[in-house]
Amino acid sequence: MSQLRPSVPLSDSITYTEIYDEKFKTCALYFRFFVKRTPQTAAVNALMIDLLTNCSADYPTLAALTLKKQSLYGASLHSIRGNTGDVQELTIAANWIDDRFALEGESVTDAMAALMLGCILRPNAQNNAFDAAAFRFCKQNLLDTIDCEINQKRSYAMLRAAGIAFEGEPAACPPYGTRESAEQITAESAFAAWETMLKTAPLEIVAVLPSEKPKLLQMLSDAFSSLQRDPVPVMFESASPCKASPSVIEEPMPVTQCKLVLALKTADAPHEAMQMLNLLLGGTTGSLLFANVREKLSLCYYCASRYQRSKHTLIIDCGVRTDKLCEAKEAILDQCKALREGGFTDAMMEEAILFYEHSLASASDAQSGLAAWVFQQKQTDRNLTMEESIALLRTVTREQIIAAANAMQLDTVYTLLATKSEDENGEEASE
Amino acid sequence: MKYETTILRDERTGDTCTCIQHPSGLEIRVMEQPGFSTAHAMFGTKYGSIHTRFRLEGDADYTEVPAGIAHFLEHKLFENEDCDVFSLFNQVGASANAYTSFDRTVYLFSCSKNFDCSLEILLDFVQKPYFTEATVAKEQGIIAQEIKMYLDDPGDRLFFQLLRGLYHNHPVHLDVAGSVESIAQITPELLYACYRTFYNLNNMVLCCTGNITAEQVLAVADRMLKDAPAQKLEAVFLPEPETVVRPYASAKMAVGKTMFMIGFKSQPESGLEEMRAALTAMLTFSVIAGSASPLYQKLMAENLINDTFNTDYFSGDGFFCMLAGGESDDPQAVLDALLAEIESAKVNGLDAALFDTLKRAAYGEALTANNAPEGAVSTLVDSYMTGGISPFARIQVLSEVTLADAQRCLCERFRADRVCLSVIEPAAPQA
Repeated sequence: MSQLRPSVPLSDSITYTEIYDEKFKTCALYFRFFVKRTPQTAAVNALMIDLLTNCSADYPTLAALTLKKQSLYGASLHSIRGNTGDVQELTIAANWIDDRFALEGESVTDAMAALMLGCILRPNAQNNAFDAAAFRFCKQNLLDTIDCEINQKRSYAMLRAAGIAFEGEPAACPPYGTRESAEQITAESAFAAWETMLKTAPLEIVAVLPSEKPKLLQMLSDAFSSLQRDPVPVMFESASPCKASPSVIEEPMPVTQCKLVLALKTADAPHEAMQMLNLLLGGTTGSLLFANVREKLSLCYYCASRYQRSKHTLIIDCGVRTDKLCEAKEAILDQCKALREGGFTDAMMEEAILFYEHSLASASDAQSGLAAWVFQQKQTDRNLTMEESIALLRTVTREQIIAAANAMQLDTVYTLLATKSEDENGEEASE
Repeated sequence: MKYETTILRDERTGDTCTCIQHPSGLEIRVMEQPGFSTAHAMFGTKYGSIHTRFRLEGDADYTEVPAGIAHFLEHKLFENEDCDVFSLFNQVGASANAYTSFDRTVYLFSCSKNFDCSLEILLDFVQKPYFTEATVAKEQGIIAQEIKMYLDDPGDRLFFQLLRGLYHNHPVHLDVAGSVESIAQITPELLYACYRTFYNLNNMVLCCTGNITAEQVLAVADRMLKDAPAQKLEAVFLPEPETVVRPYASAKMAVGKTMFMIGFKSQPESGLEEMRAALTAMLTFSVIAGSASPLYQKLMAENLINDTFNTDYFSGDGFFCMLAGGESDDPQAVLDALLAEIESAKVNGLDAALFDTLKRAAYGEALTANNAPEGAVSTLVDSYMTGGISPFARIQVLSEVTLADAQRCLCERFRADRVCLSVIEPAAPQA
């Protein structure tokens, strides 16, 4: 059973939370910085956090750092670039075997904590600029990542739809910024972004450990208590206003399957009601979209919905053939209408809650899931236990779900329009 | 009932696995993990996309079936005569799914309550096929969309293009889901024929992990399993030459940067030897081209690779190849550099210190494979499918791999005349 310890403040807007759970064989440690998401800074922040896990003053090349991790029984260390609404989340995460499995009795935990702190606080930099070789590699990685956003058509379509749905808001900014802004980044500007992050970004540190490691808290405390801080708070929730009439955008692409994305917004429906609505509409294999658009009408392989709490927005997406686009859109909107008219049973509501209950149980069985729960509670400023969260969902009535469904308005219809026939896929060449 | 039971134990982690030969013919593998909140079950058969030609003892001729039929059968089993199986799982709060790969089809669920009911549903529906002309026709629409989704996935296309470049006759080069044309040939009669051949309990395994007991699993198994007569099954592949089909294959797609995958074809193995060969080859390849290797640093410095570059292995019944891939503006230059490094190491020897460090890292990774029930249940299935070896064999095999083994592996499995380079280039932008 996981034991969540009360969070410990290490410095101004730097908090450390520990979870103990002896069932795990590994230790996991996460440093998550929160910064405002802006078109000017998204790219440089994305590059900078990646650079911090590529090398450090202690391990000045990727090879040296990799070798060190390998010698620590293949410990993983990586950056995660994410977003919640208008906030950019910059995470450095690591995972390593618990000390009890070390072959020579050494403390892998102490070594990994020192390695991570070195990466975050002592990067490989000189004269206010990151190391040129490491910078060049990470900049190319970022440019390639941005260029290759197009590769995964489903996520690309979601990205484009978000850009249209949240136009004029920070959440419209692509996750890694634009190519133009990435091209402008220098080793100096990336270094400045690192300094700004350390000084101003709220930082949540979460450790999920199989047993107590008192030295870890001491190391973190020593490292962060002396930092000069001037934190800039961030807003995790900012409802996106609905357009007077929906934006309908089609973009052609040489692919065989269309991607259809719909964004629906609500100004003030309670989050728990929206959460239930999402589960009933397209969050599970028992949902209306799955049962009807996929199973009954055979229109799609996937048709699902998700609720973006931070923007009060519900996103629905599916992959569909070109000549069935209109039919799929109508079928999706029919399911929304069904919700508005109360076309769901108490049994479906109970199944939705069971699904949610199981998803939280699954989260509690993974170190990343436990950490994600802590981060989510910090963002919503509620500090609920998983049990309390389930109980809260149980209080949602069918009337509240119907009201939430009626409060939703269609904001965006984005279509990635397939222009390629199947026959065009066999264009292989050989030498 | 009388069972043949073996308890396997991993002395390093304390994990145990109870292996039971059930009188019905089914092998059952259970790893009890009492500290966890969830339980996972997988019910799998040794039947995948490569099994397109087979016969049972007593059959005069081989049966040949259309590509994609194993995957189609997986979809169809989720439909009972009277209901959709997903709805049964939803009612008890379990999350169900299934997958088909080259050599197996696996039905699975996870739950945090009602394990016994969920297991009953799993064992019931997989043993109760129901196919009609109408339900087959309905599924063709859904699967056609799944196929199209994969046709637009450049990673998937890159991989299958490589397999078609490596394998002349082995059906591993066929898309797992088949094509729109091949699935159009599927009939209820063919589905029943495949079902009767491969879904015999003697050809299957049930694996369970998490907060359950072996007794609990057996109690349900005793109630639900229908005795299956042992049958001799012969799946045959046409003889496969050692050579590759072509050294180079390319296609154009909507991608942001050129993607490539290099494959070295070599002699297939089975059972414990397959695992030994795979682990040895992975260690060897990491010494040559892993992120701590001089070659990786060189390619990185010359801007020939980015952080997507990685190495892997791919093996199964009748196929074995080593893979390296990523994104590059000049894949041929990457291949040339790789081949030069391999030839140099064949003459000068592999870096012994790096080999030892990577072996230590592999130990850490193997140790944590069963860190949670979700990963553990896959380990159990993998070990059964790999010739019924112990789920804890990996660490033992790793400890036995020597530098001399790696050196031999380099000469045997990394041959310049057994290589294919698969490339996906960006298509011209849409007008």
